[in-house]
Amino acid sequence: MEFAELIKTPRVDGVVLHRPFMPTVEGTLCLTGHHLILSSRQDNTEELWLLHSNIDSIEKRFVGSLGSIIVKCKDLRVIQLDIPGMEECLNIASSIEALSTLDSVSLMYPFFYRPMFEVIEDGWNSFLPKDAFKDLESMTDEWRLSEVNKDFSVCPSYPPLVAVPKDVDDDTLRKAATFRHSGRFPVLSYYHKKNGMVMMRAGQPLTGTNGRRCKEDEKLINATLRPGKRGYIIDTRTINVAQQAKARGGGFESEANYPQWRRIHKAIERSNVLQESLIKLVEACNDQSHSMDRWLSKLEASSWQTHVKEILTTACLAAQCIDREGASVLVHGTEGTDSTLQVTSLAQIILDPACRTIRGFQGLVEREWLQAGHPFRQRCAQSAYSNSKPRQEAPVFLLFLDCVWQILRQFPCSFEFSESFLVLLFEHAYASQFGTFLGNRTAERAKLSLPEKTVSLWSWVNRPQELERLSNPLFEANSLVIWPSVAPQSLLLWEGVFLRWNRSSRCLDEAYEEMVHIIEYNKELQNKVNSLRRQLAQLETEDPLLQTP
Amino acid sequence: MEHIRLPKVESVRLLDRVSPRRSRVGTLYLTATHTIFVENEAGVRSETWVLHSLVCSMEKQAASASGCPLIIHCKNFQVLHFVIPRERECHDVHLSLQRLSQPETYEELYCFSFNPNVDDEERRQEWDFLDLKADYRRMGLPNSLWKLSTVNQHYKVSDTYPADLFVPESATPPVIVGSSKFRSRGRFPTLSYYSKENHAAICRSSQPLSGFSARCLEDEQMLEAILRSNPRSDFMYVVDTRPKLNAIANRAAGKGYENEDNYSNIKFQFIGIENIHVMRNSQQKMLEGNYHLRSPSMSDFLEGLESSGWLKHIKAVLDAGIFIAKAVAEEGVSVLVHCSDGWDRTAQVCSVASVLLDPYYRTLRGLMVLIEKDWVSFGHKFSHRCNHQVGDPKEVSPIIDQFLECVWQLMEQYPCAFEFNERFLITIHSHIYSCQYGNFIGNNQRERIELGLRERSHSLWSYLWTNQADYMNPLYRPDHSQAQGLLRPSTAPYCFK
Repeated sequence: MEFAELIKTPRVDGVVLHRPFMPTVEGTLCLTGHHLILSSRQDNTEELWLLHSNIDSIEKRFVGSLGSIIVKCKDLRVIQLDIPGMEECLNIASSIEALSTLDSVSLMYPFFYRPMFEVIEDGWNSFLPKDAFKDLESMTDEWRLSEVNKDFSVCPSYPPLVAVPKDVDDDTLRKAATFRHSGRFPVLSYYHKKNGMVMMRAGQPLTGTNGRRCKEDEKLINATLRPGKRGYIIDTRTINVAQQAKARGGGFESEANYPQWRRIHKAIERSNVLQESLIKLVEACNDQSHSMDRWLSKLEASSWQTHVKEILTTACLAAQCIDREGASVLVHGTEGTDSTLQVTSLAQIILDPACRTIRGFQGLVEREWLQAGHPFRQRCAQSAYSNSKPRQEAPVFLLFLDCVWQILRQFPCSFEFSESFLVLLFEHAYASQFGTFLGNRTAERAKLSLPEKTVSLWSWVNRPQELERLSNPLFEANSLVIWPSVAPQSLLLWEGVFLRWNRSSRCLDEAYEEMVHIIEYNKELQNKVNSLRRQLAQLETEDPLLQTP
Repeated sequence: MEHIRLPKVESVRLLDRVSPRRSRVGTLYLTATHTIFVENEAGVRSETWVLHSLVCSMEKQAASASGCPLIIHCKNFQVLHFVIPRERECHDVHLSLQRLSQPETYEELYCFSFNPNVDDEERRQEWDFLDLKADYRRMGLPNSLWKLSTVNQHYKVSDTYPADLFVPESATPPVIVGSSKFRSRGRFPTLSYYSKENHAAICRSSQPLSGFSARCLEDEQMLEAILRSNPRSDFMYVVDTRPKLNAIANRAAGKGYENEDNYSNIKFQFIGIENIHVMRNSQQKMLEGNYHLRSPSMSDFLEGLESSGWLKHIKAVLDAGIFIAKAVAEEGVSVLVHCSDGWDRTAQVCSVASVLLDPYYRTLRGLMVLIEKDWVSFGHKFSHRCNHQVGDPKEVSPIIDQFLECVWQLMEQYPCAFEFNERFLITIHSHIYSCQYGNFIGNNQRERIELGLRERSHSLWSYLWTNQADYMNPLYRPDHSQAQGLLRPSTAPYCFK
């Protein structure tokens, strides 16, 4: 298929662009296969390049022969294009609509994008499971890397290599996989170096209504327990939801068959509810009425902050079991691809200082989201403005980023990256020139040959100038476990995402700049002090007379 | 001393509110001025001191096997959860504290016994540190338009106003006295802020005693004089900060608001800030939502916040301040602000407008001057509002808290525009309630002079000034554009935290 077929009018002159907190621009609008471009043709600063895949929905308005298209983006920005001429406007609108809803993955921009920067390190090779396992091997010899899933036949949503207990053979894994939702048998998610406890994740056990059991599954997870020790199973669903799952063949681990495990149920909401919540929240943020009551009740009714609190609370619980109780933990919900990953990845942020570095966080997103099979393509197909009925869309990853932001806000010096890194990941998860977030699972990515045909986001991020931009000037490595507060008054609305286009951030940006200046100046002075000290010490050794007796 | 039934209790536990499992064991001492908890643990010897005057309320809960819980809520929102081994002891501590935290006479207040070891000369310097006349001089007053009036020397015209007041050059003593007779508590229109650049002024007063039809020639002349003191403008705003309904209700009591027909060239405006009773209940509700519920859910919290209405009130005060600041800076129009008595809402709105208008009030010294001027000297009833001593609970209201919060909200939006930091506001807040310094004792200037506070107590302002390093905002950049001129904050609801 040719993109040209979809572009009815490739160029319109005299289009006026309105953007939040920026002066309006008049220029030429061009449509290409992947971009909507508006250029004033005067200087480069006044250009807009918008990926069609970033467009969530559009609205048309007409006043006389002047048409306006309101473009609502997945990154929550809303812009308006005033287009002279009814026909042009209609053509542009229908072209945008067609181009922004292309179904075929292989037509997406990452397959056409060629990097304009020098790739120092190919991000596709930066976080391979076998490299992550090397780190684990340096800490313990109780685990092995299994190739049981090398052709994705045991579990289609797992990577080819997974870490499992050394004493469990591949046959056991195969059998355990038949007992878990989508074949997602329990695998290692995190090893806590301090006390050797582990966190595993899986899909729900397929006990069904008649209480099926699976010896191999029991053997597999018991193999992670120290003699005489008990572990915790954290089910991210309420007991009622878990009970109901039995009717559909799912279920939970019974006390009788898993006597060494204590099961705790939490209440993290699932896809549709979360998508609804996001839509309501964004609507509340865009509400122009100035009533405080209305704002607070809409914020409350969106339940977004409730979800943030619930997810963080569960992650804290998992971390607590591991660090405080000295117990191993198995986390699962239903499929084990959404709430499960929120919990396991946030628990690692809390427990493991390495995950709070820029590189460590990339590794975490790779391991716990991309390789763990979070279906990014399905979940991020639409954002808050979409008019079509949500299918499998859900802001699961955005909620995770929001929770990380909450912890970052409470521990502003413990993270190597700043808020802008989280915002960047949010943007690229929904629309990107990079191939990283394409596809739903490793198998699909391999089939699409993403590593060969597209550029990895990490290749872009891991360059000095970009790292500099994303780093947190306040960072001071903190080797401790950090316990966030989950009290309602401690959790704020993530302004950097949800109010980004609604209020000017000029004053806050200036303050940030000032902070950076102060820190740089401080470093400079510190260096001066050190060099003077060295000079002094040198003078003292050179001249024995100056030495204090 | 006679109020202390039990000076010392051993093996008392102080619970940590964040993680209740962590608690400290120690000895509780009651002194004439403080409750002191000394931790037993060898080597640590951490001490917790709580001023009796900061104690707001106490809750003695039913005794259990582990002891008898006594929860102390402080006026600075600190909460201390003690567990006292025996019920009898707990009872005694409770009764002692109840009496100690509610002084019956001024003489019992802590400021009269607080002795930071300075001699009389130093004490005089402390009190001379802030000079309101200097602030008026800074504004360019007196000048050909405004003069210092001696009409209220000895507090004869209005006993709740300060002695030194600025009035329009053309306002003669008979006009002032006549106008004062037509205003609640004699609080006639007088100057609060004057803009050197464009001559627009913020004036303040109490409500007129207009009832349904009464008018007063002198009062009308007074407003006319204010209008004429701003030569470039042909009208002025009269802002009644009350909800219209409240103002109408006041008419039945012979009070009310200005009739536009009787005053030439005024634009009259209601702003709708609620009264002290609504504000008191609002704060109570908000605190209940925050502190008293054990582990509230997110929706409990947000619902509680909404139903308390606290942020709505903060927004209303800020919106009113913005209206006035814009009138002065952008339109160059003078404004007369009043509410009922002109010492609560009026003080809030005038001072918020001043902070928005004038970068000086966003400095350390400037904020002190502003509080001294618009709040202390103009007779905000600190003793009543802050419950310094046993009194009518209906007079208590967090009016000054709201002003400080408005400043804080502005600091959140303009991080480089304020010389001081959050700690400065918190310290001021704490000492408004603590009674450690004489600044906020009494309800007006006359009372403070009668109490001899300058001679018998110390001033907070010079204490803050000597410790200014603690209160500096490292991000303050007076040369930045965001720090200059009029602040135009957003009051979209989501901008409030």
